[in-house]
Amino acid sequence: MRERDRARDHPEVDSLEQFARFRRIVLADPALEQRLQGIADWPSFLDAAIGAAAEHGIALSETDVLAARKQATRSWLERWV
Amino acid sequence: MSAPADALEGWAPIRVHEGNVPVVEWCWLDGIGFDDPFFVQTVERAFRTPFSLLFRRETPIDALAGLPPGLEPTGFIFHGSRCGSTLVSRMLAAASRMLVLSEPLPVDQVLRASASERERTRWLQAIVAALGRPRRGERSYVVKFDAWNACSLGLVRRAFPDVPWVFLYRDPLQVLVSQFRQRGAHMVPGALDPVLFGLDRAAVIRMPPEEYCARVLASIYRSALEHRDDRAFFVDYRELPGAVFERILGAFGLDCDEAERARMHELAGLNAKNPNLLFSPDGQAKEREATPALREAADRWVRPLYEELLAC
Repeated sequence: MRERDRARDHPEVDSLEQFARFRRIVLADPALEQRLQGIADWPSFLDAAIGAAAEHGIALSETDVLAARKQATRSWLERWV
Repeated sequence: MSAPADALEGWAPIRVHEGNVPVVEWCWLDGIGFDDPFFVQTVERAFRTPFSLLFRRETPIDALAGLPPGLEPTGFIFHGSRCGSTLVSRMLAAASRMLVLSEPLPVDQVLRASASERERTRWLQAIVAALGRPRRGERSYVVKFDAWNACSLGLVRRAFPDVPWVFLYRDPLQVLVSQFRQRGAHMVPGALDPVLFGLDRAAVIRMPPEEYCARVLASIYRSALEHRDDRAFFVDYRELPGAVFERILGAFGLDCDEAERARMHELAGLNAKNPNLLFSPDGQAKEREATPALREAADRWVRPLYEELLAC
């Protein structure tokens, strides 16, 4: 399946993959990790994450971050399943 | 994402994923203490920070051996559920420099993992050590297990033969009435493997709920009795909160000053699971609420074991 079609048919999967790329970069960069750890509210975090991702050539969107948040919450709630 | 051991400062293991090699998932918890009545509540408090929710590290469980050693456990708490264990753990947590983990998920997960007893023993030692890394200058370390973990006492004792342990129990009818109001996972047929409680999977499907719950509780009480040793201390719910001062602190070798004891007394007057509410004894209400079927199940399956516990 071509990349564009996959993104159109499975937008959430694409968002999660995009965030996963960003996550790998953050966890390999102690300074960036520390910067993001210190942000307590979501609006500021969204701005910081999207900006940091852009600095690393990743076009991260608010939708991507919120999809990652939804997936992380669901994964924790489903720990008994 | 995998992480070297030295990158885990400020992180805590929050769960274990089974696989060919189990993987430990770590959450950024720096600055947050395990101050909530239950381990998972503290984790969920950490999740309010966006980074903690979105960024986890992962390590193979064998990598835990490379971490700086955590505190040696000071004592373990086992219980039959609804027996005052949360009150006891909250009171102990009031002592300064005390790390108390209440029903930590990774501990339960390694105890119930599909693996040999030898592997689970090694993993339990590793995960208890990883969870026991002091983060705020703690010097003592107590783990309160999930109620059903009492059925794994043999493994726990082999993993930690020198650690003193307390078993909290209560009149079975009161436990069962409380469970019928709101069930713990072990009291929901199918939520946990019934083999853990010595029950046949097929038979459980047709079992009346009163019998199922009573037999699960009986299995927990029986296991505690079977593993009684010179490090064991058995405490009836009715002995609380006094037994904390008179027996449990001594059993765990803890020495508390007057200020700490005063704080413990204060906590004893609060509802342990919801510290915003005052504790109110409800034993008599529970007795009135019990159905004949529940009374019969409690008497048939659990009461003889309860009598044995009282005699310990």
